[in-house]
Amino acid sequence: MRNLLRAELLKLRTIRVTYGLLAGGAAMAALSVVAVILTAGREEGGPPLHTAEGVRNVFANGGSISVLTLVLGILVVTGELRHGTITQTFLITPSRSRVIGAKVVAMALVGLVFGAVASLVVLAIGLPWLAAEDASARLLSADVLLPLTAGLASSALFGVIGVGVGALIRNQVAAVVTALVWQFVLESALVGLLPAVGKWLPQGAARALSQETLAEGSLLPAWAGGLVLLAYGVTFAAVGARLLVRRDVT
Amino acid sequence: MAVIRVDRLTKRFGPVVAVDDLSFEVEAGTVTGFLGPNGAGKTTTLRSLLGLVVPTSGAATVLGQPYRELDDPIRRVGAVLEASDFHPGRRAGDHLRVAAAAAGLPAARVGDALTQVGLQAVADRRVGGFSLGMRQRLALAGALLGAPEVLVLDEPANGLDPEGMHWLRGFLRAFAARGGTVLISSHVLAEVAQTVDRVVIVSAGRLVAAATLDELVRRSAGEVRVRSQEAERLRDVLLARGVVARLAEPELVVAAGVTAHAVGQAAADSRIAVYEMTSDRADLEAVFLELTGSREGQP
Repeated sequence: MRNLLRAELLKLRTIRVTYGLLAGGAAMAALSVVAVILTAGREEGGPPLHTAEGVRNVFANGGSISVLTLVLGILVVTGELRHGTITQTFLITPSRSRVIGAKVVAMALVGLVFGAVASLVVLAIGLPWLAAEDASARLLSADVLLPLTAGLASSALFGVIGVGVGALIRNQVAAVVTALVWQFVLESALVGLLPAVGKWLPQGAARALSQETLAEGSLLPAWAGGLVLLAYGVTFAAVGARLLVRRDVT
Repeated sequence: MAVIRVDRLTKRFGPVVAVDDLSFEVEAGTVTGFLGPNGAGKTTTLRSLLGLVVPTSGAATVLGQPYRELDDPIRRVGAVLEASDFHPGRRAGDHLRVAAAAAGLPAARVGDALTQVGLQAVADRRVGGFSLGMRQRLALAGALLGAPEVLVLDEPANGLDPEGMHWLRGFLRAFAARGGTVLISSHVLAEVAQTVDRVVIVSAGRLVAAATLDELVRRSAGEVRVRSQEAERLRDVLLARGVVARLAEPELVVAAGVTAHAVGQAAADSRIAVYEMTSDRADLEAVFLELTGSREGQP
């Protein structure tokens, strides 16, 4: 399994899309933290920066990179099918479920790296800016570290979910489009319209994890949100792997 | 010992029967050509052998086991399937490094394999810019990575230039001479005729012949031309033995569907002096087309 994991990480390190998505994710984290700080305390924005909620909201933006780890997780499976490299992969490792397992672990690790980069970006912008605004945000405080950790976890967990979605849908374009439409359209609507259902869906769980302030108290506790995300990822990957085992690779 | 054994293999894709009750064996230390027109089921057979395709019925084993059950398969069986199976953005060396990592092979094998196929100079180039021939060489490097004892090659000649083809022939002969076993598919007999010991010919998913090239030629309707001063008597002797023979010239008999050996024996038995005998070896490619029934279908 260690060999497989090394191979999966090497695959990700030797294609350019990984670095492109990482750069894009860092830029997204930077933009979203700037947007949150600029709008904090205004009518359309989040809570003011001088409150604990306001500080948390700023440092929760590291989790915004999750959408890109989701996409990368999808590519980790569908890219191999698209380019046919899955043939070599399965020739070397005929146990297909082990291959998917290695991809899950690899994407969790890469998701952590993505999350760490996003966290650094958020810190580099948030800490000095809040200090300049005379808001109390210390690095070693729960209001900074908890949302950062949640962002890290979310980034890793969405990477795992991506692998599962890729294994289930297999077609690269279809998988990416489905995942994005689900995230940004269907689920956003569901979380708003039917919060009782929405809180159990990946996006609702992700919001719970990042302790986003929705005021209604309609979300799961953070730890439960994390577990729900993990359950989605592992279930998708397990079902996807199962379907792959008897599939012809032609 | 049979290194590769295909036993009553059948594979259907929906209504299409790609491989139809196919059986053959490949002996250790030989190069076997797996021949047939495009769409004859060669690729499906090879992919079934390598555990990539699940047969509808029947079985295929390599080194006595289904491929999927081999321990460390890449160290025992090397395969070249399709030359396009690369990520275009990945560098050639990295492609092999990934394979070596997954197989737990030392990284030094990557350089060795690249050198073996003559690609060491382009290790740092992205595969997207490679010609078909270079991709074939890279695919072969991947197959050689684990220093296997069996090679399974699907149409490796596609895209190889004549020099590359010449090199591949030499390489495969040397590989077999060291005791390695090779199964190489092609839709052009001439590509492999100089390399193979035996051929397995399929058409429409079915076995049509499994033989040495010599047997194949002998099996076909060649002509034997015999010059003798007693040509007319020789013709009658042959006719009496059930051979289709005719007098083409006053001193020339042409016999069809018979070996030179049989004609010579017939002449000797009847004490007929022969002063010239030529055996018109049937054109190998014609035999192949005849067997696969694709004489008209081929471009």
